[in-house]
Amino acid sequence: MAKAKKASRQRTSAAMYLMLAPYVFLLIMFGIVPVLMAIHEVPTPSRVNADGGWDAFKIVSQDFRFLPALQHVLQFMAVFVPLTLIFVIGMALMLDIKHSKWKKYLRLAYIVPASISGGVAVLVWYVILQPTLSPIKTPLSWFGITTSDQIWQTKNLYWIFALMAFFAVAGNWILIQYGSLQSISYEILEAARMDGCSALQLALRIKLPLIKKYIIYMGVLIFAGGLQLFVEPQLLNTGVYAGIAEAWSPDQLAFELAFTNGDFGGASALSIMLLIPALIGALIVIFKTDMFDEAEVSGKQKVQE
Amino acid sequence: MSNLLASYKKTSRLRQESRWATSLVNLWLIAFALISIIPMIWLLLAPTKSDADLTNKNPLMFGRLGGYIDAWKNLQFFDDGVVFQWALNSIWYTAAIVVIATISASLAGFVLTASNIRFKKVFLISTLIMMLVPPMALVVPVFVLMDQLSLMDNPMSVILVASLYPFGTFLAYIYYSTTIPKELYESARLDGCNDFRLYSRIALPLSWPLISLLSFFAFIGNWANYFLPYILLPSSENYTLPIGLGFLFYSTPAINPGVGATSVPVYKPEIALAGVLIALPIMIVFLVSQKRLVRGMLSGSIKE
Amino acid sequence: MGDTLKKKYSLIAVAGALAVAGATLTAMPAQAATPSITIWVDAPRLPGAKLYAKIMKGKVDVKVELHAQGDLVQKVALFNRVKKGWPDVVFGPPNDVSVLKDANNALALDKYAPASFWKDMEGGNQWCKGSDGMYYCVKNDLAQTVLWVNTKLMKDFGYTVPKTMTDFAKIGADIAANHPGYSLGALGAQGMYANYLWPSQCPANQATSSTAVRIAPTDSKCTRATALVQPMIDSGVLSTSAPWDADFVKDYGQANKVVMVIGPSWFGEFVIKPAASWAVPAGQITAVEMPMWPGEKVNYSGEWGGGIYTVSPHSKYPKEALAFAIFMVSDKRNVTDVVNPDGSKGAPTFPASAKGNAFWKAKISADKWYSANPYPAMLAQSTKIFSGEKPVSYDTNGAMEGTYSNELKKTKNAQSALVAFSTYVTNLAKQLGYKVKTN
Repeated sequence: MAKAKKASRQRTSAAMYLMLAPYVFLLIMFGIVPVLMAIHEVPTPSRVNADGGWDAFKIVSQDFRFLPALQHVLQFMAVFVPLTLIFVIGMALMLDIKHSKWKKYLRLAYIVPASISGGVAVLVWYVILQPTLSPIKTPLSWFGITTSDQIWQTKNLYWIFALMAFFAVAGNWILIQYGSLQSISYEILEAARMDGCSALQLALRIKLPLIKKYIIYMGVLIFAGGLQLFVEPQLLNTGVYAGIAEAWSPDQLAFELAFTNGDFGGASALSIMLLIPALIGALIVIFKTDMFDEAEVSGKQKVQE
Repeated sequence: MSNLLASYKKTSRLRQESRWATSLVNLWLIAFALISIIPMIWLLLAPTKSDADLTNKNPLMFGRLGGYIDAWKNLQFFDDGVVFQWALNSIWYTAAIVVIATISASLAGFVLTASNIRFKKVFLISTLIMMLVPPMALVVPVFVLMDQLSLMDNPMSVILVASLYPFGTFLAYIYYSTTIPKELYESARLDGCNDFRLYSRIALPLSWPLISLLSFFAFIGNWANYFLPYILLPSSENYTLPIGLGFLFYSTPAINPGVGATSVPVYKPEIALAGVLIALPIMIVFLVSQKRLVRGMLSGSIKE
Repeated sequence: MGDTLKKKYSLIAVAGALAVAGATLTAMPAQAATPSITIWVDAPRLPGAKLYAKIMKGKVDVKVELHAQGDLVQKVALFNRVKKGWPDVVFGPPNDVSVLKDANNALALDKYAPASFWKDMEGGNQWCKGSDGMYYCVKNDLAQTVLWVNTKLMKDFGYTVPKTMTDFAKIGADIAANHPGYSLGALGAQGMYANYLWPSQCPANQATSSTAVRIAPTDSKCTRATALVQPMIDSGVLSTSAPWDADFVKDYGQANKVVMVIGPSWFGEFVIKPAASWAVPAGQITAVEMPMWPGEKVNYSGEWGGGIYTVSPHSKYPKEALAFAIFMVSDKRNVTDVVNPDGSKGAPTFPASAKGNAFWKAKISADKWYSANPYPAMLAQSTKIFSGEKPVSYDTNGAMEGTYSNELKKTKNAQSALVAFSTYVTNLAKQLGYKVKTN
């Protein structure tokens, strides 16, 4: 084994490096260099951090908008992540109960909302949650909602954004998880049925554990995606209901610090804080799923050596 | 034998019992499908109607096909037809990004599986981290960087940054390492293939599903991208459709009549048309490639 | 297969070539012979700016860019950072003058225009005067509040035009009791601030210097305003939406159920008249002077909007840049003649220049849509904008439209919303180093 590896390393040619070069160039130039620049930027003096220096971290975290923004995004995640995970898995399992031709069209319907994102999502959801324009005004009225000011309030935003984000991603993930269920071998399922498993038991005891790593993978990607909430609140805030989502998410706060207050140091400090969840997410994927290792068997062994 | 028969009976009884449950499930599956398409139906219907009809008539009623033409004409009023320029920009920026991102990611994925280059682990882990980094976190430094490269307000800035495609590289890496056995490379090498040919003759022909998957994600990720062009391309002639849509939001009376209802004939039907221009291409791509999407996503570790 | 790869590479090459071509086009230096300026305006100012570019052809190269008012400050921060790209002259919301001055992007303009122009602007340009006595902007229009009345509804219901806010509130109570479903307007966006708090002299942004501001929500001038509107909020006579929110437009605007509304001078042309907005029929609307707050001697106005032109200190041609602003505020070709995309003519707002205002007066006075000439009331109020409120270096209008409006929607309590607003802007102000006086 070791010998073979040695032999293959010798064969690594300039050609290989050349083929890797475009990606590595992009990765270094527009991935790593900006991170280093952000770190370098932190101690820049600004109006709130007149002497400059690493206090920028402390000053940003004491900004009166920092905690609310953090709270907003946590509220949003608390709705969005579990809602999406549970719903997606539930839908995939339901689709998987019995196979019929017509269900193909349902799956097509599920991914339609995924094409509505960003600015279009703000437009569409503005209409849907605006009782005078809404195609669902009757259901809204069942909940006693007849005027826009009952919905479009800052305190409701985390729900609204969670709904937007949910519809933007749910369809694709339903398809993917449905696909992962398809991969479970027929023998295993039939054996379980023989043992008298009901559809529900089958789903919970057999299918779920078998697709666990995809669920974790999805969880991490959904979580990381959710942290990037920027476009929707920003557009809503500048274009629809002025001021409703001012510095609502940490991303917006970073943007505002940099481009309204001219505090690039503070913005960079906040940006670096925003990297932390990404790092944690990456570690989870590396250590808690075998996504990373299974694909590269020899790599894993190398680490263990 | 009788044992087997008994268990068959048992399962069929169970299936019968759960028939009502199955129909309930089906009903729900259909209901969610309907919920899923309502917003898109509204969006597609909106440009067929007048602004007043949108408020006063049934939201899911059809207006008239000519409404699309009227709305398009009205959009042309906006800054001398700059909307058309935005559409062109969107098309060519996205095309360039898709090409560069797909090629660089596919090559990188191949190299990371087919060779034992140095720092492989480092590349892989930094790729994974980059996948999860929120773009916002890098906006300020990318902005400064682009200025130093004198690329501000130059489409190249967006194209280059967006072409960094760690998700694609990761996907390609998983794809190549699970679908192409290493022995294939070994034997090809013995036949005298050099590394370029290894890619073009062995890996590429076997990876068309991957290539379409990579271009698919690069397309949907960038066609609707807002943030990067928003920061890096401040002139309105360089806008893309999503930036333009945002711009219509706050500079026309469509949603915010405080802007001045007499100044531009851009109202809800017109802004909805702009929305259709953005959403429809994505939807079509989605619908056409949904099967491939699932297969590709799972190709990494699932044997079919 | 190799061919396909080649094709793809050649695609990259093409893309690269295109990009380079694009780069050279944008990087082409302007000809030094004729001065060149870049103008940023929002949509309503666009027809005038384009006309100006046409008129100046050959003399000044004018590049007009459409720009929303909202992101101006952010874009300037970007340009400051890269030290290039500033437009020469921009149109923006009034509070920007202070923000832009802080960002070193508002030039003192006095020496770039003849004294006659500053004389012409004397009445209308006080907002732009810095503490050093120099003008840092040119006011495009005045947005003084007046009382818009629907003369037909007033007559139908037997109301007389209120002279005091107390009478105004009495009519509000009567509508609630006898004509439910009718309205006296909406408090959302800047409605409460511009129409009630500011005319009542509530210190919400009383900047006393560039580093000190008084924000005192419990001052009696504030509490009397919030107390006055509260019963009308409770009864639904005053909506907490914005006057252009879809439900307000439908339920009150297009239903023609707004009996009176305090609003800025552009309200008639922008909100009440247009077909896509309230679309009130001809012959029903006029403007009258503001009702007086109890115990006051002057019936003050607030101001909602009233944009400004600023010139960048980085401009190579400040004189030419300022000339554009002069054209916009005082030249007949823009004020009354320029053709808007919808067929209407001229600027929709009350010009801040005396000369431009005279042209505009003729236009609006001849407009048969109004049941009576609204101009005299606008003119009377134009000199009575309470001057305590000043530009500040933070986005106070955004906070009013955001924090205040949101709290009001949530609590339906005008006073507690004002306290929430004050807390928020106090924080904003302190962060910029302001000393904040809260009583």
